[in-house]
Amino acid sequence: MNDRLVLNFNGAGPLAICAVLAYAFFDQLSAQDLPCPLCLLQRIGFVLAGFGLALNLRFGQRASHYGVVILGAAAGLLAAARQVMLHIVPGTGSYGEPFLGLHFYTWALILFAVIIIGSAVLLLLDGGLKTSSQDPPTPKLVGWAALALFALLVAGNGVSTLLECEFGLCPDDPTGYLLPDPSEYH
Amino acid sequence: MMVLPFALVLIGLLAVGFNQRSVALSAWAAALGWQLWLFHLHATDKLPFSF
Repeated sequence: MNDRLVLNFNGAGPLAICAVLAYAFFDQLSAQDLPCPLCLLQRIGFVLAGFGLALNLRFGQRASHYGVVILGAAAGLLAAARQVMLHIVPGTGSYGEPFLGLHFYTWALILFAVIIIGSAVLLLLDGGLKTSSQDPPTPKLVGWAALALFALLVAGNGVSTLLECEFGLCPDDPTGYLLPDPSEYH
Repeated sequence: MMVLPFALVLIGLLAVGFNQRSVALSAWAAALGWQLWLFHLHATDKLPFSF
């Protein structure tokens, strides 16, 4: 039972993080909803947390990989909590459109908390750490596909951040991309 | 500056693909440190609390 729970988490976890990143990216492109600096820091938090799950897929489950997940999620949670607190007082406005009644940064805060608690629970289950061996396991096709999708989303977010912020800090309230749109040249 | 954590994680993922765990963890740690530094730079506004 414990082993099955751990295996499911390691298989579904990276895909869930990919889904979060993909939806945020879709919203950015379809609704022209540019991410603010704190929003980007939350995306980086998801990427940092997902990295630990990618390590689990490639090298097998280790306590240190769950440490990577927890620290990455904690870094993202800092940014999300900061943004929630900026808008928590009535009359202080909000950033972006709500999704299912909550803003993205509130959802991010909840998801980071879930990731941290989930990882801590998995660390409690010894079954998650039984598979350590000298030879790293080779991920199956689904594992490689999840890793490739995750890398693609990280690269896509990197390119989009470069277009939005160039090589410096992002403006607090971005209104457009700083680098010119390549399609304007056609 | 904002793009650096994504670039570092991408390098880390490449290292994961090539079975270089220590390189991957180093790239991840650098990305984490940079993310925290960026948070420090962006968390300058006073929170709207008045107790």
